[in-house]
Amino acid sequence: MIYLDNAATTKASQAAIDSMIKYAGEDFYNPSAGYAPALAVKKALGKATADIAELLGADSDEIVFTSCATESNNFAFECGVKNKKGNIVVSAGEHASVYESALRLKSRGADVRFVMPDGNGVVTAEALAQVVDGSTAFVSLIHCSNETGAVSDIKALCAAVKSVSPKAVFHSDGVQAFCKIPTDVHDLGVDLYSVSAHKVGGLKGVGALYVRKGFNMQPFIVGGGQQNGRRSGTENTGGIIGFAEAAKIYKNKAAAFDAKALREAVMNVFDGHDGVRINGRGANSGYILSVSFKGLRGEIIAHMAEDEGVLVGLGSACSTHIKSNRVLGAMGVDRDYAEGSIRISFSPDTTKEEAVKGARVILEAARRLGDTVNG
Amino acid sequence: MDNVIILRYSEIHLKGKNRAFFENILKNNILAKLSGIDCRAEFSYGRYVVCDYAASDEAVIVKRLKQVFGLFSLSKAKRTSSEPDDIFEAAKEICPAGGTFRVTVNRADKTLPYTSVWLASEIGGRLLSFNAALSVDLHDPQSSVFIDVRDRATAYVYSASEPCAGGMPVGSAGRGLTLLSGGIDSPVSTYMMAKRGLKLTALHFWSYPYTSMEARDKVIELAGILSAYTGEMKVLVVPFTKIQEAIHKYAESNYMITLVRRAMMRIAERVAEKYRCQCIINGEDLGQVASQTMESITVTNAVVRNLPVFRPLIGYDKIDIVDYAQKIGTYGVSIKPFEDCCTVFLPDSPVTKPTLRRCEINESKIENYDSLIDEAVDNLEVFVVPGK
Repeated sequence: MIYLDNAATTKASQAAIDSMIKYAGEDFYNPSAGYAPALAVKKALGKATADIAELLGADSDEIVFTSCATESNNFAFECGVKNKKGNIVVSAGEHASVYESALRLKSRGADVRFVMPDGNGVVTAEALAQVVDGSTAFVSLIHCSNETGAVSDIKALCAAVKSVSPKAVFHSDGVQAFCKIPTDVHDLGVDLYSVSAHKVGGLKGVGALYVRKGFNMQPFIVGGGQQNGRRSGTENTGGIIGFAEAAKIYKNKAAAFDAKALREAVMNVFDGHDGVRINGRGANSGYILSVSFKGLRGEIIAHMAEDEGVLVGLGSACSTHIKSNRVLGAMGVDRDYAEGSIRISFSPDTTKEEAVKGARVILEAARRLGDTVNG
Repeated sequence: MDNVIILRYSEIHLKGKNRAFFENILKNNILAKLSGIDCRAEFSYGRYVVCDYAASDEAVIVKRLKQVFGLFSLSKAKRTSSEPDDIFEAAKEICPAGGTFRVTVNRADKTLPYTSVWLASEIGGRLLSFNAALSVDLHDPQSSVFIDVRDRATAYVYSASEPCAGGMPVGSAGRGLTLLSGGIDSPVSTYMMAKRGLKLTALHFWSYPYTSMEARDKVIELAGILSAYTGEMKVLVVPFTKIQEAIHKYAESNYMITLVRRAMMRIAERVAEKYRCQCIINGEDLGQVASQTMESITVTNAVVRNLPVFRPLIGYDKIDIVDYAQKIGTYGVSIKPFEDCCTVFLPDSPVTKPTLRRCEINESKIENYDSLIDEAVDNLEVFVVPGK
């Protein structure tokens, strides 16, 4: 089986699995308790927090762990908007958890503005300048697109927003960027930044939100006052500690992994074929490749590829994933192509051989489907 | 005094010499439904009683019994002796906290030393003394206390009857093959024919990879919900992809749906015969979509040679079908977004008035049509959904 859906989730690293077993088993103690075994867990949690902070270029007290990046993004929208009368800016190519959060604010009466990505899926400063003004209160732009891998220059975009609206809060969804491309949050200048564990070899059920020091943010979840009152609920100790271990391993592997070269090799399989479109040829993390096949259904191609032992994600498909069309649609991809999209995504463990083989299987599946559908 | 549940059956009492046939099936269905619960069922002429159960099991017993077709109503009752003192003790427990009431007595044993009128008056009087908030209204009471004295040892006291599923016992009308898609209509048509006493086998047409694994799982999930009413049900999943591809390749595109449905009905009749089903059931509803016009139904029906095709929804409005689906609990699953038929095979303008002649011309163009039908029938997968 060739797994090419790493943007959906990655195989958990053994370190993450071991941590979960250790902190669910022998070290099961609640880190908020006062006895010695619990204090040891608390200390390990502190070390994990420091590790994640370091990977993000942040300080430990700027990290809030959550149950997932969707929670982190919801947290940012629910508690990060300071000026309730100001406008909200998001890109039309955001992950659903950001997009839906923005729509919820809109339904409550907020002035929500959408910035369109360019044809490569990148948000440009020029496009952003058309919607940001002195009243902009909150901006959320995805760092690396979960659909196409397109990378926007968050540092420049953040600076551009702050120059027009100095008090604007800048949030970025960094789930697909973390450990893959530089994500030094202090350097980026963002106020809030969301990440997820299971995209980098951690377990599902753990995310984090970077909250810039000095940015006063009310908690989204209240209760026992864990994490200095910023996110109540007993910490997922095994998950968080495993997240830190997995992320360190992932980042080391990523440093030795030429994702862009791999993506290029896979693109070469598709290039030159009629009715095949690569969605996003601009700045890219290299970890995601979105390919569309004119007049076909991505879902069917994915099923056919699965029958040949290749697992891929869907950029968009039949009604099941209709919302995914939004991102490609925002990039100007015709519906004829958008509905026939496949998302191929890699991890540092993906070999060139299997990626290219997988791409050939997909291309052949699309050819067969095209023959059937178009006679 | 003990807690019991009195069961009343529906149309079976209209039966004549074959009444025992229906009663026996109903009794077996009741016992099957109560399996796993520590209780006992007593079956006497015209009256079934469930007893000897823990109070904590009463709610689940009632819930299960309400899913048994053939039962008209049930009452949670107290069972005592025929002694007025005992009956009063039971009546005290079920009488309302206030408002108007009446006592209705049925006395089967005419050798008892009191009349029905006397017992009603006696118990009513005692209840009035017991609870000053009660008053009697014989014509339009807010609540009633029913006393059914069977013999010297047995009287049932209860306040209300709760409706059950009605219909006829599953299995009493034979076996049918129901075409079950993942949509809203076919689970309702399946329910309706089970209600008329059919034991059902379900047939689903699966077009992987054009549809998903989830589409098939959705149908199994629907069968699981229906199995609360139908009992154990086999779901036969027919691989339909090759036939769909062949029709798409060789036939006029606007006849695609019509020809697909004709193929489905051909397969259905073959499978029905193989699995000893005596009829085919589908969820067609006149005029709902292009394939359910009079002309479309005529040409799809034309391929079925030996079996009746039942369409219990034929005269229903869609909104009524949706209401029904919500009532039986299938609607929430039916609207999950896993389609049975991928849009790549859907023509822009399907024919609404197909003719038999054009259908046959189109089918004659399809290479190996009969062997594709044979292959689909031979390769169906069987999923057994246990009764709930």
